[in-house]
Amino acid sequence: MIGSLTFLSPWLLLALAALPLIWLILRLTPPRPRQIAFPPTRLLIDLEDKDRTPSRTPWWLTLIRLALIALLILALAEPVLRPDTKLTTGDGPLFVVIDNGWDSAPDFAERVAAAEATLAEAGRAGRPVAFAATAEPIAESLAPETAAAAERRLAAIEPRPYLPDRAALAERLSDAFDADSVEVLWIGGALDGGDGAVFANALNAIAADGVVLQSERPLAMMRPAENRADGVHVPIVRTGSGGTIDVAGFDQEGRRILAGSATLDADGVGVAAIELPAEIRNALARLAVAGESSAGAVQLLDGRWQRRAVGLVAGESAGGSQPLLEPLTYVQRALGPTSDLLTSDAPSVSEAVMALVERDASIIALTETGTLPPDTTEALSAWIDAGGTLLRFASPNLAATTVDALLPVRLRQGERALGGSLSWEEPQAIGDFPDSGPFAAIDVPADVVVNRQVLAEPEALRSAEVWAELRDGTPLVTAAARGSGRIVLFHVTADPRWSNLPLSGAFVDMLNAIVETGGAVERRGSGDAPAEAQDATTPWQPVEVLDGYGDLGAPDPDAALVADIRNAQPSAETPPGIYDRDGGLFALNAVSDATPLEPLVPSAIGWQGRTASLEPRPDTPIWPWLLVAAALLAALDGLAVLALSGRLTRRFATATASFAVAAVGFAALSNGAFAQERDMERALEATNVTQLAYVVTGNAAIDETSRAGLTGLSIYLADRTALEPGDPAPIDVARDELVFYALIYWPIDPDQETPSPETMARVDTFMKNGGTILFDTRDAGGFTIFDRNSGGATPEAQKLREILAFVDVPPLEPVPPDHVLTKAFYLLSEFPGRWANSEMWVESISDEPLLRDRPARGGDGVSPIIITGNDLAAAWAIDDNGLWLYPTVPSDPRQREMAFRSGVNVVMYSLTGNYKADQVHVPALLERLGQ
Amino acid sequence: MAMRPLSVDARNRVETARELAARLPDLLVAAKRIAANVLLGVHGRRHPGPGETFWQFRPYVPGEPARQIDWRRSARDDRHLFVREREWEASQTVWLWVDLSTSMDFRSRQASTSKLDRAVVLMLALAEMLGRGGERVGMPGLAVPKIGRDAADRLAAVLAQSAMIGEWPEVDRIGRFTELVVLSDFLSDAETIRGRLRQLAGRGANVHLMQVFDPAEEAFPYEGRVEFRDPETDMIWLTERAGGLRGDYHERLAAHRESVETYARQAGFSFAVHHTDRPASEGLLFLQGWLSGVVAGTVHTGHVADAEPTAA
Repeated sequence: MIGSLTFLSPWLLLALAALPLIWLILRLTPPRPRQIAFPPTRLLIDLEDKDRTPSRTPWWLTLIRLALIALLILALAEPVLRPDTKLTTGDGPLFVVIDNGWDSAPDFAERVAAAEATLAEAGRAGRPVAFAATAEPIAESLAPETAAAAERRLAAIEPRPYLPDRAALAERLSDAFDADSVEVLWIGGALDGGDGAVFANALNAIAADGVVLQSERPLAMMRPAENRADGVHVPIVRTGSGGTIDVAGFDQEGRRILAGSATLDADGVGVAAIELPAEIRNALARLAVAGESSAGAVQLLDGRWQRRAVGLVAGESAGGSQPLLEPLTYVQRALGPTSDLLTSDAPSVSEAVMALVERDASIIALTETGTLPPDTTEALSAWIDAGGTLLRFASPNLAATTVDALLPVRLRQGERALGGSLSWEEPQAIGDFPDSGPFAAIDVPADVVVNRQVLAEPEALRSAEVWAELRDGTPLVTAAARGSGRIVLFHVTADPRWSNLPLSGAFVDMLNAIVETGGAVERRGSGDAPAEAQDATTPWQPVEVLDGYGDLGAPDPDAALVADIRNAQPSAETPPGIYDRDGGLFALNAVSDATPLEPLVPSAIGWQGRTASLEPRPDTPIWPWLLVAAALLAALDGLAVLALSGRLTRRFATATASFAVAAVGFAALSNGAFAQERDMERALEATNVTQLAYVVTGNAAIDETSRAGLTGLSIYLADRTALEPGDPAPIDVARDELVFYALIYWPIDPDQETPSPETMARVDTFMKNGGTILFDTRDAGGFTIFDRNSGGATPEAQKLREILAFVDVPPLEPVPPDHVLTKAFYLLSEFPGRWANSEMWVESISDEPLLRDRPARGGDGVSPIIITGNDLAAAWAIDDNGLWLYPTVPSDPRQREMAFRSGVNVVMYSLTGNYKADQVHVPALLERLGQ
Repeated sequence: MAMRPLSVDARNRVETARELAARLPDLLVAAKRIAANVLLGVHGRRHPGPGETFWQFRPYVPGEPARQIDWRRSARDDRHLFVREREWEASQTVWLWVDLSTSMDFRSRQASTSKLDRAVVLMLALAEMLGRGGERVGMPGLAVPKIGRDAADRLAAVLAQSAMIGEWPEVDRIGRFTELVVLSDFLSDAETIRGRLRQLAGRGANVHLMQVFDPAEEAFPYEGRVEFRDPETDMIWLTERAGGLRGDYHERLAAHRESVETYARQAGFSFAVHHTDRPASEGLLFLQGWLSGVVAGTVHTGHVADAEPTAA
């Protein structure tokens, strides 16, 4: 494919107009001859020259030079070769079909641009164009029309929040087109969706020539997240290869409250596991793949998703001495993996219950209790009305109470013993889980036998639901709705005294079913009622719907109501989004666990046309080659001049050529070897002698100041202290090993490119391993570290924030008067540099012992980060003669001395840590030793 | 070179002389070192006369001063008294001349020294040698012939003090039977040289011409586009292909030399060529040979440089 040539600086081509003038000058200026003083010149006079002395440059030399200049001008105009974007070649009718499901959303603009380019091309060629979008809900006309009309229709196409229904379109194709009649451009989505093969076959049938245009951009998708005990598990799928991918979570207001990342395997499958307290987890409303704008990269969360907090209260307990005999041990074990369990240390049952209600428990399991105090009963009732689920287990205490407001049914007094020595009834097995109850999906265990149970009054059962019953029909689990909440009663104990149900797997399933169907407690009172309690005929109404890009928005005014949301698939009628039915929210997501996410592979679905990439191939710069050609011509010109003046001998030419070849070869071969050697030398130097190090910013002036400054400080240190540092080491933080250095000076250059997150991760590791970085914004204290929202920060301070955005920065404070830094070598109260008005900030030394486990506090009490704005290096900088390079402001010799002392203290602090802080105890220790 | 503009020549020659004066001490040392290796024998006249070397005893003739009698010899003879006679040792007058024109101040890469330096060294060495040999050494028009071992120093002083030294010696003071040694490149017009030689021949002097030549002048190793400049006249000759001129140049050079040699032979002068890439002692030996009467005629010293082009 032949591309088009484009100039990035086309106005430079105007210089080509000067070429004729240059030609004239060159033509009239012959090459300068060699001048030789030669005494017998007299003998040469009038000798017949073999060819006439030319007064002009030979034409071919002029040509070489003109070509050289022309090449230079062309190279400066920066020509680039843009690859041809023309996709269609024929002149018959054209059929443009674009996939506009959510899988095409991240690069939909590129797709539209490609379609537009093709349509414009067709318009110029006057070709009739048929246009279709696969995910459009309305079956539009497939009749060929003008390109302009197709372009208008294209402009209205948006990515849809569901996968395209290609099969429906495929059916219409054969009616709309004759076989082999059109040229097809299929701008394909990223996913197959299961109907790719059908569609490809339909297109093959009608296409005389076809091309499928596919994006090479990997598409990241999110499966429904799982709410596990150890955190939120977000399964991520990405087409293409592995790598890491970032996941973010948002709350109801759209605030980002969670971030994590998943490492994908070679198939592009991975799980982001994010540890999170239950309270914050419940605030999550939306999870999204960072940087991926498609509905498939978003998971909306509703009430079903929220992790319930289950409070456990036992009236009488074994006091913790025998944990396996605790009444709620089995409940604890059963719910532990899936729920957050709350317990209370309160001495009495009523206090414990109140505490759990306060702590937002949505389910409270209660056992070994009979009648509760009236105020507790009232509080619990209010809580149940607000949506709480009270889970009670039978016990001897309960068997003594018959009427209780907190029981689903009225009980008969006493319990029923089965299979005992005085009973002729056999122990009963579980008979059935009625279909109306939440246990319907659970297999009835055959090995569970109940030896003892409490019995409900038969007439009371009319007002309650029976979720499980024994073979003889007596209820095992009963429940009753109260307000928005409900009360569930197990007619056996929570431990294996009365039955072996707690030992069975069914017990776990039953408890989980209760927890899952339990509603959240709605404090405002409106309530998120359990679905079972609602009238099933009320339709679901969309509240907010996703668009194809994964953004939530208001639904269409005429949005359809949905009767059966649970079995709905994302489609035009039921777009993904939040649906509401009487306050109960349901989130329909674009990607469910069952959604097929296989990528669309043209070769695998029988596509017979060509394939092309959506990504425009990168521009190929030509100008480097022009420069190379110009350099070659320059060399040729030099040789020609040498030849003309007779100084070119064969030996000289051979030597030159071999030298050039050798130089090129050497440069090519030695690059890698040099780098390794440099690393080794650097490591050797850094380990042989303590070095101060500075970060190379790329700004020559700043780097030179850093070098001169650290040189000055090194000399000062050698003069005044026991430390004799080596020459300062320049460091490229992205490449060089940092582990050798204790203190790195990092001047901030506002024009510096912000280091990559990988680089800053290295810096973070360095800091956590005990290294100290001295950031110098050099802006005389214009920065304010806490003042994040103020617009008054200097460019240096803003750059520092950008740099530190990826670093775990501990809390900072200006150096307090009792900080070790003020006593590490000299006694200092301030830390001036070239300027004197900036504070020096260090990691906050709080006396709070609990805060000791700060992330960046891995070292021996040395602040991993020191920030100043005083331009320390400029104050330290000396030239080769030992003269100051910069004046201090104000110009005060004492300030410069103080600047050096500050430097000494910082170096001593970074090398010795809190040694000086311990030193203050020496007199006391000596005194104690003397006794 | 009669046709050159005087001003240019004068300027160039003053310059040359000044530079030469600065180099003279070195050249003098070099000349003495060379001369130390070459001994000029005192040439006897084969006649009794004033001298140091014994020649013969002869019988005393009455009337002669009595102190001339050799008493020791006379004592062995009882009849005669004898007189000791010595061989007559006369010192010769040797005129030396070196061409200090600008064209002599040329050195190519093939040579280690310039023609001028070589000519001066040869002259001073010759003067040193002759001075030690008891000859009267002088420069025509600049230094009168004197006996003395300091001849080289004397001539060097003369050279250093004289700003303008002509290309050709003044021949007025040169008498019969004197020797004249001329060191030059003889690049002037052939007819001019012929006139000068004829003039010298009229003086009856015994003339030795030594052409001091640079190997590059002999071989013409130049190629390509070259602008040749005559250092005396600043005359410029531009050629596109110097290599193509080599054959013609060789022919012209040979013809020029042939004519100079022919004139010299006709006048009875000896003529030799000395190349600056050869040792100076070689030239000195030839000069000594001439002055001792061992060698006569025209001789080329040094090799004739090949015509192969080499990097200049």
